[in-house]
Amino acid sequence: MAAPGDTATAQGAATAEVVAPITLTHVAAAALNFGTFTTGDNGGTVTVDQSSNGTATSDVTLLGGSTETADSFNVSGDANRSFSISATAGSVSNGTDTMSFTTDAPGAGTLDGSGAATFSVGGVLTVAGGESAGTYTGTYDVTVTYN
Amino acid sequence: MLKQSLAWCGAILALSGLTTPALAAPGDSTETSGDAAAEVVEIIAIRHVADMRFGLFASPGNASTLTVAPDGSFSAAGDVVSSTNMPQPSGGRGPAAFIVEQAGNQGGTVFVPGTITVSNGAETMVVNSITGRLVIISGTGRDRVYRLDLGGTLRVNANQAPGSYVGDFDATVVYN
Repeated sequence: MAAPGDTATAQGAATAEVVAPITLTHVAAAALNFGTFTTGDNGGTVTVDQSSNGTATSDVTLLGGSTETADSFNVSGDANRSFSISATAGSVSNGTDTMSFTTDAPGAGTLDGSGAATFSVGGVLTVAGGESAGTYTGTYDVTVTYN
Repeated sequence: MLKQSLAWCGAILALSGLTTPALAAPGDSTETSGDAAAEVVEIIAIRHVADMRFGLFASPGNASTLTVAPDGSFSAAGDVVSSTNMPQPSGGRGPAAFIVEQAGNQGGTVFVPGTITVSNGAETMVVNSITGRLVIISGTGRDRVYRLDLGGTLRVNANQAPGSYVGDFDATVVYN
């Protein structure tokens, strides 16, 4: 065995920093709602911004009493850390006809000192014109990622 | 405890990542020089210069691994992959580094742990699959200075508690 004089020791360390995972939750009952409208023959678009303001173009007419809403999400994770947001496009269907939509989400957000954040998602629905009457539903995906 | 060794002899560098039974445990050595060593040992030193750094990541939903190689390359597997692009703390990720000084054409063996446990005070993680390399950074002939780079694989548990994890370990050089 080695004599004491033939050895030397140094101490090092291994380190790692774990932060809370980022979690995205859809606010219950919230939805990207393009409201109630007539399509006309030539259609157009319905736009809902992130503040839930709805507007229609071309032959599309929003009806009185129509309620347009942006969708709402909650984020939790590491306090004061920023994150990016991405949202896919999607489509809605009544089982017979389909209309497609794009989404309008903030590009990024920052968790507050408690590790919480919220954001809203709007969108633009494209109406071809002449779609059958009915209730149209569909889904889209939202992803948040730590920056 | 199983320990790993990296051996070199004279001017010829011999690397091995083999897991070998311990020949010398830290408790068997001392930093005090023996008085009879002077005639063959001009410099005996190992000096810590960098920690093994696995960086910052989000707690994964499923068990994951982060690997830092001795050459500084980094890889990850499992849920933790999705958070590996997060901004890293100062110093970034990297292998542990020690400076090993050789004099008088000595060979030697460096002993390092087979596993390292890091803790945040409440939860722990294990670093294993520890590998190393010795790089000649200066000197010629019989007097050389090496840098010992040590990498390893951090085993991250599912839902690992957030926090700063650290664990100390010893690297002991035994000269022939």
